Order: sequence, then structure tokens, then C-alpha cells
Amino acid sequence: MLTFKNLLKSWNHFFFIERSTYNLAFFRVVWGALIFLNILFEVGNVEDFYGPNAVVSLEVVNNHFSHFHLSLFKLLKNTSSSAYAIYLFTLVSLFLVTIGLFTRVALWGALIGLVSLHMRNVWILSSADVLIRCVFVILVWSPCFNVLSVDSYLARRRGRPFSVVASQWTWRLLQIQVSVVYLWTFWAKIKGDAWFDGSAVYYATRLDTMKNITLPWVLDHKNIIMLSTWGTLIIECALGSLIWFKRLRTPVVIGGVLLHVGIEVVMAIPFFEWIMIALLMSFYTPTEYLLFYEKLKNKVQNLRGSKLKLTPSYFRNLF
Amino acid sequence: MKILKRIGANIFIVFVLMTMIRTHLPMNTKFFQMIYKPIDAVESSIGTNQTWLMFSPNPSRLDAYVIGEVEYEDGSKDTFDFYKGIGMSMFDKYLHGEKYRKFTSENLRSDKKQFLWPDASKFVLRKLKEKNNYKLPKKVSLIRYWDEIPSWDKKFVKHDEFREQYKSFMFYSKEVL
Repeated sequence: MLTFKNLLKSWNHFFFIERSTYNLAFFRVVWGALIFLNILFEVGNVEDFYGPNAVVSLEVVNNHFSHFHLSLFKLLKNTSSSAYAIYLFTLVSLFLVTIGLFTRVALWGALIGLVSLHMRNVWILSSADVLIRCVFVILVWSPCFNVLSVDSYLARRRGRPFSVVASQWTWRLLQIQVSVVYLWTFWAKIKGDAWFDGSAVYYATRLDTMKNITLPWVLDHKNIIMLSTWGTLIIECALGSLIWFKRLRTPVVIGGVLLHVGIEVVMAIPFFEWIMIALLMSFYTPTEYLLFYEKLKNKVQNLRGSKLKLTPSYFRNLF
Repeated sequence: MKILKRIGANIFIVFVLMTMIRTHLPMNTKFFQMIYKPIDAVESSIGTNQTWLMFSPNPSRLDAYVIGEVEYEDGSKDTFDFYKGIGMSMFDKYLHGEKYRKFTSENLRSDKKQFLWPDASKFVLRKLKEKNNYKLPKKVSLIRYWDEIPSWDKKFVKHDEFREQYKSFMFYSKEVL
């Protein structure tokens, strides 16, 4: 029966049940490394994007965003050294997040650094950058350093180990965040004619300024383009909804990974696809990670003794 | 302490969930405006406004880029292409191509974002000064190039086919001397 008490019970069960933190910790390592690389790739553009002679001046930014916004640029002088200092601060914070040293402070440092860099020049940003900020806003509160981190190693050595299990509400918020991204983009797409008539992938892949590798033998056939367009819609809808059902999760995630790898090959949207793939991994529980690892280990051990047979049942059993 | 933590966590959960659904709520009503006033203040301060409109409702059919041109006192000219993505390697696009594409094709070229033009023209001058240090600049201009992808029923553009002809228009010009 749907009562307030039952709702409250479900809410508490969904958000506050205690679980192993291995999946959050694993996500922290992958996420930290990915965003570290993302920022590292900007090393040649620090002056051009954030310096005093950048492509957009700090004065224009301040005039445009008259409301309060978090930015270290407001605290420092508008010089090249300041731009490099904020950049380096962000990079070091992200490195510390990845290895899990002073993790809580580093997570806040990374969030403040990223927001500062992003707000300094919003006109070069994409959805990926917004998503990065949204995830960090959640991650800063998480127990993602309780295991698989230097902090946890040091705590164990001090004789005061962190608890492996913790309340899972931050993990749940991350999952909801991923789901919402797919659901909203699906909802916005079904209002468009091109997604309906199957031509959307055609137009998206014909933008010369965004092309990566060209695949004329695939993307020159109308039927394949139409299937890709509708396939994108189906996968995005499934990633926002069916992913919550345990039985359907793996095929849905595989579909998502294929979709993102496909986009990565043909279109230049740096890091976005890898960010989404990393986020999809957050849907697996620590037990599932361990089971997968055990299965993989057993398979490798079995294969050492026998010849490798890549049959469909081999892949079925792997997952 | 545990209860306080739980209350704090619940408040944060509700806050995050509200930021997620904001884009689909009727924000023109007083009720939602009142509820979202503090949430919007936090959101805009850290830039977490969630819309997620990638390639929607339709993918853009407009391919566009901007080129900066500097005319020197001796009559010569030089251009800076803002690392336009066409013909750029995948690695270069990771390094800076996409960020400049976003800046030029979605922002700088737009008439609604004229506030970006003076800074961008100064940026072009600085970029070309590295190459033409001994020359005196006379005029700096920003030129937008654009072309619309034709409907696939009218003309099917092959995936490995790059357009050769773009329309162009000088949308900003300033005498330097």
C-alpha cells in the first residue's frame, strides 16, 4: 500500500542503505584520471583561454556575469601567473583525487578549480564541462576514498582504517544524474523532425568542422543512417530508464558504450564520450564488479590450458 | 551527529533532484520562481544549469567558422583561422580544436554576441604579431564563413566529401593605426 511511511521507507532504502564503497572508489580513480587528462590537454591554451590577453577578457566575463559566481580569478590579479597558478592548482587537485591523497580536500580543490576555469571562459565549453561540474558537486560529499586510495592505506597503517561500507546516497545521485542526462536529451530529440524521419545522424556527421574519421562505406547508406538515428533514440531512452533493471542493465550499457564509441570515431567531441562511458560504469554494484573480475580471472585461467574459442556462449558467460 | 548528517544529506539530495528537473518545470509561475530562487542562486554561482540538449531538437545543419584577418601598413595581409576543425587531426582536436570550434561557430560568429568581437580581434592581432613582428597592423577584421548542409533528399553529401565553397561575410572591422 502506498503510504507516507512506506514511501519514506523506500526513500531511505534507496538512498541510505549501507554498501561497500569499492564501486565509488573505482569510479573516483577512473573519473579523476579522465578529468586530469581533460585539463592536461589544455596546457598549451592556458594563456589563450584564461590569461590576461585571452580570447575573451576578464572584464567581458565580469560584465556578462554580474551575479556572484565562484571564481579564483576574482581573488587574484589578472596576470599570466595567476592563470597558470589556477590551472596548476586544478591539475594537482585532480591528480590527488585520482590517487586518493587528501581526497576530500582535493575534491573540493578540483571543483573550485574547475568552476573557476570554466566560468573564466564559458563560450568554449560544451555539455561535457557542465556534466563534469555536476558530478564533482556530488562526488565531494562521497566516501569515494574509503578504499583504493592512499588515504585508506595511510589510515590502515595508523591502525584506524576507514569503513569499507558506507551509506550509498552519493552513488545513487550519480546514477540518477546519468539517467537524467539521457532522458532529457531523448525528450528534447523526439521533438525534432530529423530524429523522427531518421536523417539526424546524416546532418550531425556532415558537419565538416566536427568530422573525425570518415566512414563512407557505412554512413553513405540512407538505411544505415536511419537505423543509427532511431538506434540512438532507443539506446538513449533505455539508458535513462531500462538501465535501472538489473536484468537489462548489461545489454543496455553495451548499447551505450557502442553508441559513444561510434560517436567518438566519427565526431570530434573530445572527452565527452569517455566521460559518459565512465559514468555508465557507476551502475554496477561492488559485488557485480567482483563477480565480473572473478569470472574474467577464471576464464583466463581456463584458457591458459585450452585453446581460445570465441563462441557466443563464451561472451555470454563473461557477463 | 548521525541524525544531523542524515538531514543534511536529505536536503542535498532534494536540492540536486530539483536542479535536475528544473528545465522541465513551468518556470513562469510564481510558485516555481519562489521555490527556485535560492536554488538558481547556487546553480548560477557554480554553473550547473542542466539542460542536456545535445543535437536536439535537431542537429545543426550550419557549418560555420571564423577567420581573423589583419591588413598591414605595407599592403600585405595575414589570417588567423582560430584552429578551425576542418582537416585537423583527432589529436589536435583534443588539444584545442573543439574548444575553438565551440567558441567561433556557436558564439563569436553570432550577432547576438557582439560583446565578444573586440577581444577576439585583439586576440587575432596578438596571434599574428608572433609571425609578423616587424610589420605595422593597419586594420583587423573578423570574417564568418558558413554553409548549410543541404537536405538529403535534394543533394546527398557523401561522408568523405568536404564542402569547397562557403559563404563569407566580414562582420567586424577596426582600424588599428
